[in-house]
Amino acid sequence: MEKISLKICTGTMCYVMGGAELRAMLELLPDDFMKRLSVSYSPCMGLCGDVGEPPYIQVNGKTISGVSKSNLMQILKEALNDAV
Amino acid sequence: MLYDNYAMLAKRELLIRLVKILIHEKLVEDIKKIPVEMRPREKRNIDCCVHKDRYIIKHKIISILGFDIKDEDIDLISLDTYAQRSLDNKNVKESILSVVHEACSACMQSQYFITNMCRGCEGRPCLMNCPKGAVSFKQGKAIITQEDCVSCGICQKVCPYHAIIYTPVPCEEACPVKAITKNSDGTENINKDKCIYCGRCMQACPYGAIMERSKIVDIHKMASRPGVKIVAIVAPAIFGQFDATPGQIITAMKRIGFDEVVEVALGAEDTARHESAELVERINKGDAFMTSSCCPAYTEWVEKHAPAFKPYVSHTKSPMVYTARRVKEGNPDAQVVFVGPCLAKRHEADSVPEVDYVMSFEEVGAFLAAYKVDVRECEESLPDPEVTNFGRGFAQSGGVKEAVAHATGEIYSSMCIDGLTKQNIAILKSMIKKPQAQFVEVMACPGGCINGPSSLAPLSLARKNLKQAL
Repeated sequence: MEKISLKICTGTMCYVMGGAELRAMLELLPDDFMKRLSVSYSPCMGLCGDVGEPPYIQVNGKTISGVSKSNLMQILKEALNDAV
Repeated sequence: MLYDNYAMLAKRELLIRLVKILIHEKLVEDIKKIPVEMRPREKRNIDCCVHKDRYIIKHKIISILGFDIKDEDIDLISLDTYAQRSLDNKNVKESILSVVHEACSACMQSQYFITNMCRGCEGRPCLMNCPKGAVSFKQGKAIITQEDCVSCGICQKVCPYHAIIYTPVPCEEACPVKAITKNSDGTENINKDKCIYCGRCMQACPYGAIMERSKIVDIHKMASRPGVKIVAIVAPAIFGQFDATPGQIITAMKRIGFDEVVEVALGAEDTARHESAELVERINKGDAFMTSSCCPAYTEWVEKHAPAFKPYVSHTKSPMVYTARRVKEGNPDAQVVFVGPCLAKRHEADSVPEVDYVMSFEEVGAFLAAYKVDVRECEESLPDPEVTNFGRGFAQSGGVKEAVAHATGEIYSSMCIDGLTKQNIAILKSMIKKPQAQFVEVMACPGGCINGPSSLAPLSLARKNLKQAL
């Protein structure tokens, strides 16, 4: 099964605006869920512009803004469903 | 303690926007745009209307610029005037913590409340068990007469339908010393004679209505003044804030304008040494126990709420003081900025001549974001070889205890009061009669400094990051 690629921006803007919480959250996910993800951390992807809507992530190359703990799970589940 | 919420993110966004225009020298020119940009018309308003939302942002900006908010003045003076005054050093805000009254929603007084889930059952345990006769029935549903209710919560416990809720006032609930109470109009007010500056109300308010004193404008001005050496003394908790090496974090601090960065862990070693010597002396003298003194919220609590505890508190100075002294001894003209997660340090620093300014981690985060400094991409600075893990360990609860135990050869019993909660306050107070250990470390924040009210990283992540640094 193909893995979902999840890239989390760790640039300071994203980190300060809630990205730190995303990192902390990934630690809590069960192993069999994490097995299907390929998580990488990227330096600032330059997406924040002025202030924009950080934090940003990329799921299979698609950029998503304003990610929080509440919608991250939804985003990942959708990506997994698409992959099946 | 630290949890994600939009009020917290709004505060950070506000800080980032302010720092951005500050470093581009457009503070006066662009400041009036911030409320409009943060609360655009097309965005769903939070309060009654977009105007109120913008007005609240304006109040918060004025607070960050370093002014006390006097409700009538604010409508007579424009934001750019405030900005100019701030640049002219006319921002002499006295209160460390203040309530932005426009933002305070005047939460309903804490109370038990019967919801429409009440089925008016035959059993009526709420009615039968209320010790004050405050429950009655009207049209088949229970109601509580608030004048008679003493908030014991029994009705809530006994209701088989979970129909009774408790509505708290979050800031009042969070305050361990009852320093925040309602004005006659329902908004909150902080009593300076009681406040210990732990910062918990600030974190707890779901409206972000409680703001701390900020000196970012002054600090930036100092940093950009030629010929002035500005030195950041960073609390060891900073290593819990970023997933980067201590050397990278030190480099990042230099990138936002500091000429030199000194670890407060260095002063922590001094504190541990002095405190250990003091412990030996006091125990030999016949004292039952001694407590640490490095947490300023704790010492403020002793001062204001537990004067009987004073004889047991160590006289040793905090790591911040020793570190600042070291810097000023080598360079008397340097401007010293303490950088930490702590609100009470702002108060402590007021009486420490060696510390010129205090800056929070949230403010550091805003500067890093505005300068586009990516901490994980920074090159390594060489950390001070004199610093040991005992000094850096002060960042989390148990660290002071360990350092003192190490320095005294582990011959004294010790314990840690992890957080000045209501329960721990009771334990502490019982110690005068029944000491539980010879050395007692007290941390006002549960988890220690890495869980301070102005932290950037959640506690679990901060612990992990700090572990890597040690």
